[in-house]
Amino acid sequence: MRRALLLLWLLLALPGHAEPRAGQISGYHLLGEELQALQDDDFANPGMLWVDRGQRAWDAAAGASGTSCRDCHGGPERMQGLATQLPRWNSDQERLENLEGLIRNCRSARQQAEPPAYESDEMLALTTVIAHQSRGLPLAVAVDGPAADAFAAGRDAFARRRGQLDLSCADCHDRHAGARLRGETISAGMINGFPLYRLTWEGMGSRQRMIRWCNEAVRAEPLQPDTAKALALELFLAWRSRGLELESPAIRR
Amino acid sequence: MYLPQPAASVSAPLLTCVAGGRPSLRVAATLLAAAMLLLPSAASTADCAPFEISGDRIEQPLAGKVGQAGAGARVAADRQRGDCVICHRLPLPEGRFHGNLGPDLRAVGLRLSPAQLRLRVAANRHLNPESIMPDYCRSDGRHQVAEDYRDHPILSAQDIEDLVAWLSGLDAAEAAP
Repeated sequence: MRRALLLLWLLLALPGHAEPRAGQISGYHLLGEELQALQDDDFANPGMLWVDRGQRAWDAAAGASGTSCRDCHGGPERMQGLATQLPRWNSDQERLENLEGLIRNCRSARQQAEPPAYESDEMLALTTVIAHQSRGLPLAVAVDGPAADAFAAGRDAFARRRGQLDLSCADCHDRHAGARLRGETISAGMINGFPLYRLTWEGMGSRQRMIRWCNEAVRAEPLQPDTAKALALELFLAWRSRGLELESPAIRR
Repeated sequence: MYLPQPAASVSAPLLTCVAGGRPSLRVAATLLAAAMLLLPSAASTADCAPFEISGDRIEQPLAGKVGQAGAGARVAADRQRGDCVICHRLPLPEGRFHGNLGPDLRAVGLRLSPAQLRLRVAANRHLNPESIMPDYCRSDGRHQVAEDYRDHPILSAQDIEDLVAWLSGLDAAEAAP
């Protein structure tokens, strides 16, 4: 019996397993009833505007190829599940690729168009409509095999103190999650809601925008969104959030 | 939350001012600058002032500054300087939205001396490397610091002395309900 329990525990502890662990709390639970209701109501959720914009961007022909996303992929619902697996290792380019990177590659290589800039309305529209197709599905990134080194780098980046204030991600979001920073509860650093509508921004933002915001808050040089280090951190954060249901477009403070 | 804003004061113009006058002074300033670059240890220049730790105390006021309690309360409330209420409960109007990462400091003057408070503000991680509270007088050994803040400690020696003067006078009787 004890051995069976141990085996069960080992299975549950395997990286990439999709059950949420203790301490994995979606930021949804810090919202309060009113904002939870806002997120839950597709007619009131401001993030749904980006889903609508994304539908239109998905159908629009672009670049020298004159093709739209739909021409090759069909409807955006064909992307169901994709956002739960990102970032993932691209073995051709030998680097991690997140949703923004996939879109930018497709744009330049297939549509032969200028790729949308990070955090542009067009990028947020496309990433939101794609991530939205996975709403309700558990995050499940692969961190073994060729992604193992990047995953280790992301784990280090999470623990590394930085900035003039000399704080690591772990200092706040691991060791002090749930405590109050002035009036705000410190989140557990789960990234299952992105792209999301943040009240502080009065707008949508990606995972990388949130990482950048946190870096600036501790007076650190922000990571550029397409660098190996930034993507490694995103992979580690996605793994920390494994098993949580994707909520995009979530609402956060 | 801390909101990023460029550091207002940068000490670089100092030498230029010194060097502005006679050529001999300019040569002297250049030599001085060269000598500073050659110094093997950057530790003293990275701190807000040199300090000596004895036990859990820094006995001497930093840079010989005299602290003013009123100014200390302003440092504690200022989001760009101490921003102490982000983590601590303090008898300040801003304290209504205080954080709870650190201990309640409304009576800290009853349990810690000025010398103990000085170490806890200037270099708290000397006492506990795992503590979330950074070393406010230090800037060496930091990683990925934004350009505007590079090689600058979070607070000046005067700010820290002002804080120590204010904190050491706090007793529970002053605490807001």
